[in-house]
Amino acid sequence: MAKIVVVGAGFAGHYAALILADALKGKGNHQITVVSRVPQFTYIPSLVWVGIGKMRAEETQFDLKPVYDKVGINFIHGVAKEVHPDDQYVVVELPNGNTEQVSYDYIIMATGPYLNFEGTEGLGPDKGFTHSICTPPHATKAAAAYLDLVSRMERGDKVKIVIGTGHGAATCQGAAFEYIANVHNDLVDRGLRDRAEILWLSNEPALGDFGIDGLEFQHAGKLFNSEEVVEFLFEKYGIKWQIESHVKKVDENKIYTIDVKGNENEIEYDFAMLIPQFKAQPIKWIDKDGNDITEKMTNPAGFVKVDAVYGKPYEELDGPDWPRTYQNPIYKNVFAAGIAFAPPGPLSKPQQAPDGSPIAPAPPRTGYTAELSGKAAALNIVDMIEGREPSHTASMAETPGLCVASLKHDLISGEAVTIGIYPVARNRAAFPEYGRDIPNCVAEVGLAGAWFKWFLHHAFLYKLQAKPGWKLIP
Amino acid sequence: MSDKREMMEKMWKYRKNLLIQLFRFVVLGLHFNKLVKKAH
Repeated sequence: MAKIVVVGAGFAGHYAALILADALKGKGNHQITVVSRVPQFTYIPSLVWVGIGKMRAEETQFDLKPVYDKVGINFIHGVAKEVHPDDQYVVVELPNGNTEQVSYDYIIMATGPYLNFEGTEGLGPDKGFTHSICTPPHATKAAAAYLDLVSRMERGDKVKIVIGTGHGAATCQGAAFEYIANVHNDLVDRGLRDRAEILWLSNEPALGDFGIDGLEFQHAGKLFNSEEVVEFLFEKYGIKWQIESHVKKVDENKIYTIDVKGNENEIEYDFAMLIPQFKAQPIKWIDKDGNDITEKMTNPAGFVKVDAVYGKPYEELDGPDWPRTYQNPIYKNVFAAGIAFAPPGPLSKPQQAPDGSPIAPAPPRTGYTAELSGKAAALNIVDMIEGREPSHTASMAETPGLCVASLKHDLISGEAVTIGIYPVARNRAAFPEYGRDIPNCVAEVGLAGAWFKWFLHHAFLYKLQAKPGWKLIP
Repeated sequence: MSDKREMMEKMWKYRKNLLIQLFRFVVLGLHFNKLVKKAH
């Protein structure tokens, strides 16, 4: 009998647990336990709609326990504080303040990010002045503030809206891009667009970079790139932009930025939604002698090292350097997936301001990519239980990126950018010219994308509740 | 106007045309399916 613990229940962790339960069904009395800080799964891509009041947070969530009860997975609602890889147990802090030791034979770390609002003075909805759509409570609070702003505009006020990234090392530019487009279109529908100045503020080295070094695609025989498309879109929407920027500080009235050339700017705002830097959840790794070996097990941001090639400069990084099995090189029974694994480096060109502030988007490892890494880790554990070497791979340099960026949520008048790229991380060893298989890359604006986005919301929530036929949904 | 700009304007013009978008939904769906198969 093997004991498997999955820490985290987002795209990577929850899907990994379902895959494990399915793959080990009827193969012995194996025990799968999921430890999660929150008792619900959240379909994060739809929080962009929650953030403008077009959807309730509850519509993006379901309770984990009933799903786990159905498929035979144990569930612990708690926060993982320490992992003891020699003694093979995790210390979990329960909601009542007690701690519990959960032993394992195999573990998947899929903790998701720690939202590092403290990394930027004045950032965030709890202790700062800006909003976020990264969690259901944050998105709900953002919607309330946004609708207050709309009320002010209805009374005749002119306002300034800033949306983008709140730190030079932030990621998830795509979510902020969706939010700014949805805000624009909502204000158009309300007849208020002329009362708002909207600014895109981002750490990207170019418009349309999205933390993945942008993308190219062919359309009617011509080669386009995401920079051209986003510039076109922002011109159509009347959105201004400031890129290559780090947010140094936010106060009640202004956002203070510095860019790669050292230009400092003070941006006045009435409403701001800025994505924070993502760091790893603060989990300590302790060896058998009680020594803290966190530095050995993780990168400086705290993400768990796996089978990637670490330490190469950005210019030398290529597809084969990205992890394939998500197995830790020191402890072979430790895997990490989704945001929790340490990438070998950034996908976008890292830069810094003259004062040393980083302006380097971190690589996104969310959604479908997270699911694929979770699935590979789960199936590799099954391999090991059955006496084989890990054989399942899901390198970001060998798997596609599928993304539908909502611009407006409506099945009749909506629009979205449908993006499909292969692979996510440029792989010049396989595709020397662009690092991607251009005939397989696509990006297109239209109502069809809005239908996809709606369909994906329902399909993922169906699949991840392990409802009948869930395995048929990829 | 450049060729590429003209093509983007065309895409923009037809972005809410129901017939064209139905067709694109099928085409893009098949493309997504092809990409998904590369991952599994």
